[in-house]
Amino acid sequence: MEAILKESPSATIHRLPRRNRYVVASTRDRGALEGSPLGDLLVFVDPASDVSWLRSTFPLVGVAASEAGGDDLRAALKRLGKVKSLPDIPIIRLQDAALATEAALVAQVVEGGLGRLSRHMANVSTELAMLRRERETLFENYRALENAFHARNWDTVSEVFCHEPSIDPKDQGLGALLRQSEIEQLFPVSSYAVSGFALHFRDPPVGEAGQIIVTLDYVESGEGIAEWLVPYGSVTPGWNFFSLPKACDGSHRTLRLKISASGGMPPELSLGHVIANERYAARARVQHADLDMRPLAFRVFTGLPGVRPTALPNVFVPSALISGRKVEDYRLPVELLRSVANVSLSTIEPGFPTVRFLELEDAIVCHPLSEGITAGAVRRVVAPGTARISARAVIDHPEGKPGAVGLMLAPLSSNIKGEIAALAGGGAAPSTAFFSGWTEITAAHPVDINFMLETPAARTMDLVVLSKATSNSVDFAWLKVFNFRLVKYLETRPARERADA
Amino acid sequence: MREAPQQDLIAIAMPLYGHAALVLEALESALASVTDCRLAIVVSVDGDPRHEVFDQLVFQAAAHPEIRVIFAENAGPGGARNRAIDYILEELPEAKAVYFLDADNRVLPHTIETLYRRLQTSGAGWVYTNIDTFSVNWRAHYGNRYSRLIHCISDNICDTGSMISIDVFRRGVRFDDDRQNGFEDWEFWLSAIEAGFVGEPCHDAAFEYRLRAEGRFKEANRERSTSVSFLRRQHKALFRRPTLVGFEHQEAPRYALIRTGEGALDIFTDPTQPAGAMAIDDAVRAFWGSVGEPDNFHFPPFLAACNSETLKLLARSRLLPNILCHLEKLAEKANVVFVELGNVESERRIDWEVLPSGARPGAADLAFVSTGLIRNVIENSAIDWFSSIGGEQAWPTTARLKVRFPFPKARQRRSLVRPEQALLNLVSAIATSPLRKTAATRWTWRPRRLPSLSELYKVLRTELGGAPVLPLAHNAAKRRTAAVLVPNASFGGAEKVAYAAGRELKRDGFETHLFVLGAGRMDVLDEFDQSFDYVHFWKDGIPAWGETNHFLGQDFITEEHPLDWAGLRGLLSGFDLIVNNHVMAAHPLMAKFRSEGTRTACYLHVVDETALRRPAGQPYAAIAFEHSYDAFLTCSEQLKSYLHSFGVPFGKIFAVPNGPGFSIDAKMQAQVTEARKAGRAEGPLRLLYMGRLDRQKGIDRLHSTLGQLKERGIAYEARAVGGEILSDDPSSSWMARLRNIGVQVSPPVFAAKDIAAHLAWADILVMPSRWEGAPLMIAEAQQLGCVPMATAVGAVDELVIPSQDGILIGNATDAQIVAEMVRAIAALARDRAALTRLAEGSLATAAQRSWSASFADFIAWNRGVAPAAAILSNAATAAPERDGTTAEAGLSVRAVA
Repeated sequence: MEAILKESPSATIHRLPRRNRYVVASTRDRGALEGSPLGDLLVFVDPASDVSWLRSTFPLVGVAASEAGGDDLRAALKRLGKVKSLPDIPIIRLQDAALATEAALVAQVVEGGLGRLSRHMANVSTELAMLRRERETLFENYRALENAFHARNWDTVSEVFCHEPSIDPKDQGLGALLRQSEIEQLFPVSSYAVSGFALHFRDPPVGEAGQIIVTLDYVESGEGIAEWLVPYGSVTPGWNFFSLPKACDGSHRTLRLKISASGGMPPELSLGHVIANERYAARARVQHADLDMRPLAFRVFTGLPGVRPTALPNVFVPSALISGRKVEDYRLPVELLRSVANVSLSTIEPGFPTVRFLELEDAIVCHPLSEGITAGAVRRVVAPGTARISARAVIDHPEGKPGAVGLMLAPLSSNIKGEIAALAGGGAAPSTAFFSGWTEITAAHPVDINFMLETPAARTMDLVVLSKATSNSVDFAWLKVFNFRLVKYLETRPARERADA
Repeated sequence: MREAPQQDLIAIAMPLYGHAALVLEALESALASVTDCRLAIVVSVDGDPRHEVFDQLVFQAAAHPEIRVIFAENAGPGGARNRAIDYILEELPEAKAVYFLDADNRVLPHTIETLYRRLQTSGAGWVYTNIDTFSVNWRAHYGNRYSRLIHCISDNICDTGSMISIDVFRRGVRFDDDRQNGFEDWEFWLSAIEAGFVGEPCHDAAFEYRLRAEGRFKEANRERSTSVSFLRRQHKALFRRPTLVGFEHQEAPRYALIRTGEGALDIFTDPTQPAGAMAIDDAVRAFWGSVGEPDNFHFPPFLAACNSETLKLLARSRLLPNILCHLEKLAEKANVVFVELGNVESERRIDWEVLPSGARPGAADLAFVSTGLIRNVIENSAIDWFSSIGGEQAWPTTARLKVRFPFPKARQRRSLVRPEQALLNLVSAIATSPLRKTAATRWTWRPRRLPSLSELYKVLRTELGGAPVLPLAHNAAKRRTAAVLVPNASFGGAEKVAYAAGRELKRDGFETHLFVLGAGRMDVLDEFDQSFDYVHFWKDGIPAWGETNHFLGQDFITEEHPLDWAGLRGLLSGFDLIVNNHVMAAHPLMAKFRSEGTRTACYLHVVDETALRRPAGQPYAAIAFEHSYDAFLTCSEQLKSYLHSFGVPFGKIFAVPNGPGFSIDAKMQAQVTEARKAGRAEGPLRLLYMGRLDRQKGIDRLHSTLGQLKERGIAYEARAVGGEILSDDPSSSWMARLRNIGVQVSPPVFAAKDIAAHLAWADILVMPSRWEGAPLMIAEAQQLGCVPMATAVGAVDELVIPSQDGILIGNATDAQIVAEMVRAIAALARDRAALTRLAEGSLATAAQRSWSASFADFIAWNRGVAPAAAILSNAATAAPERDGTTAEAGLSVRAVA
């Protein structure tokens, strides 16, 4: 036992928070016990005191260093009985001769046992809370299913809300705004049972490529539900249905739609009539005259998920299920892009800058060279949690020769040139970096680069814009990359400092 | 990367009793919070006898250092929360805010962060969410804007699951731990409001409220009326009219006023406070918003239009709050109300008439309409019908409110735009707005739980039990408020005492209000015209006398009597002091006002007599309500003793000796004194009678006295100044009979200078009254050295010291009184030196008499009246303090600019 006691507790057990007290003793024994190994775990109670509360004290055991102390402690505990919540507390009489040893033993039993058990219990509790929540949802859904079964209410979807499009000749259009920022729209119906929605588009672009990016999340919890990446070409004039993989369940919440575009000028997203309630008008971080007190034109449906309302011509299924993560869309500010550094890997040294920032166009020029890889690095711009990056690239000269463009995310600690060298050598990017792959580009056709990370970035990273030649010539291959859009997923896990830290 | 600043500490306080099996969910949800802040979770175990609680918490606290636990004996939910608050203040002094999470509820991961950020940016005292329950599904939307008015008079709109600034607790706000109070959470918010804090809604966050078929919430609601009464008692100051109207003014203003020729609307409830401004566009949005989402949008329930000059004039009239009450009332009787102003020097007057559809109401100085009517007009496409108010013949029914008062001398600027037209323009703008198309859709998906903001004035009426509610909040100068009630406002002695009381109260710092209840006019008396900051008339439904029951054989009115109780309550509720001067109908209301915090006083002037000489009148009607009054004022020691004999303690009675009804300037005083000292050795004696020519005043005795003097050859000149109620038989007219014996009869005079001229002319004022109180006329005569000769009735003997400053005629049979008067007048006619001595005695007595001295004790007693405290607002959210002390200072500010 001596050997055990000599071992440092911190090496073997989880130490309990030192604020909490688990052992009670009488004030009469204070002198004898205060300096003992129990010192930090002890709280002294006064049998004459009228105190009827305990703060951060969980009396698991009482100790007495004297008979009188034991009697006092019993009296004090009797008085504390009015607190009601405390269990019966055994009292151990510590012998004078072995007080230090016995006190140390009690301390280790309490601290060690409780510490280990509490960690286990914490995990069990977390799991239990989660299971209870899931059970609630299951019960509610089961009942809904049963009701539907009894009512033979299987078919179709029901429109629960509709706000018709309204075209104002003074409208400027939302295309530029969608590329620059995102538009938010709250649903004026509860999330419960919502299985899809429809957005109204008009004027599909001719010769423009890109994607409409739509995400749906809950306002109150910030949890994401799903994301749709819809190529411009798939959008039809009129109503377009976005289907959810499963109807929203659980608590009733407010649904929020976020829409943006990546690529050329997107199809025109229709707005509806003006309304009085500004909270439900479409919003964007960037001010836009068309959004003044106007929601989008949209419809909301409940019913069987995946079923397209018969009157609607198409259906988009989600590209990604976000399932509980919070989604945040962010753009790279100009001041960061301005700091782009040339990290190209090439033996050629041309007489013009191949990598630079274009002030008026907020774009990074990354002119390919006939040999090697041209690369521009923007340091520390990719936030932790980033799961997807998109950007648009164009060769801005009618006679520009074709090339290939790509993006890479590199850890701050990595050797960027080394990783570019690995790419140049035809190998894959190192496991610590993310590479979009090469996308071929010609002067006639701008391209959109989209790549999703297998797992969201764990920490801040560098963004590297890459280009290389795909033919013998790179004449006039003024490749510009712009409209960087990054999407961050935030897990809802505790990420804060403790109060006593 | 930037260095993260020191993270703020948020405390989650969790009272725990009876939820041993659920607390782990609450704790897990709190622990799962995603926030940049540091968290401390303080569990306050409220004597829960289940040891399972201990077992749970010992492990949780061991595993999570941020969990703090207090075990204590049972103190109820309020007590348990207070223990957590005290712990946080003592042990976690750096905490910035406290979030209360009940042990059976759950918080969503981002809620703490979202609420705390909103708390920081809003500067509010607390931030609250809508309610979404689980287990039993229920949802509530509590409005887009926080309203103290709603929170006080409607329902508890904030769950304790709110983020509360630590400042609230540092200010000493705590939960009430009285277990009889089922609404300890509501009570807490009321305390916070009283301490000057306001809430802020946050729709972007939520917590999960566990609702089961039965629970404390249901229990509390079963005892709702008891609990609500408890709240009213605990927070009297919050529920007084000035406080609630102040909230209304800021949060749900009752009136929107279009200034013709200007591009915006004033919105206000209290016309003495700075009004809010609403652009036409905003007005249109508010109108349609209030149609579709009445709990989120407020459009004032009454709409008025006039030009700025009219508004200035009304503000200066001191009648504006009263006019607004009349307009509210008339808007219930007619579709549209027109106000017509008239300049009359000698009186203030309010009359009204309702005209049928198709009438020609003529041009208006102000047009007034209820928003409800506008809504109906638009819904029923009746714009053309409504537009006729701008033409010659109006198809809506109209009411015409005629307001007469002395205009200030300044020249009025004419308006070139008619108020009716301004009203029509706004209605047209609303009707043609594109918002009309979407107004029917409610976009807020959570169900509405609040009353319509535009109908809050009705909820306020219900709360105060009155309608309309006087639109006056606390004055910014924090002056105490006094209401003086009179049944009519002419030149009677009792009224003059009321005016004098008002003047003395005003001099002592009160904001004074004269209420003329049962009449629609008052005569303007220069002497007292500035005694009152506001004048109010309420004529209809208030009888001068009533008989629902008897007290010692005397009539009194109870609340069963059919009269306009709502009107009275709405007008009179919420004053710091009420002095009831003979308004019989007001007695039954005094107990309620007193319980609400008003100090009540009753002035009694005289014991009347019936034709059969039964003592009767106001004193008996008042004594029946002795319990309701804090004080009585009498005009004499005699009446004081009389009241005492009916059980009113002396300590409750202030005898206020009457002073003169007018004052004279120093120059005139010097002239009069000099003339009286010199005496008039020559010429016939000058006798003056002033007063009603009726039996009470002893007009028959006067006639006999003068006849006998004539028969005895005593030279005199006599004047009788006064009016009489004419009967069908002209031969019975006292005027005619007096003229027949050579008396110069003049109609009544009311101006101080005219009364003074008569008294300065006369040697003797003859007052052969059958009964009196303590007539002011005696003091007025003495002031001018005119010797009063009066029958010793009522408290006359307290005003006249025989052979020193007047002559007292013993109260006896008519013949004996006449004989005694003849003898006394004859003696003075012979002995002019004696007359001069009496005149000098009168002047000396008058020099020692003043209203200020008379009211001194009463005024001193009133210094104990604390002004009903105005509720402060959070600095960040408060409307600017209003500094207007009169209507003029409020609404006219922008008009002048």
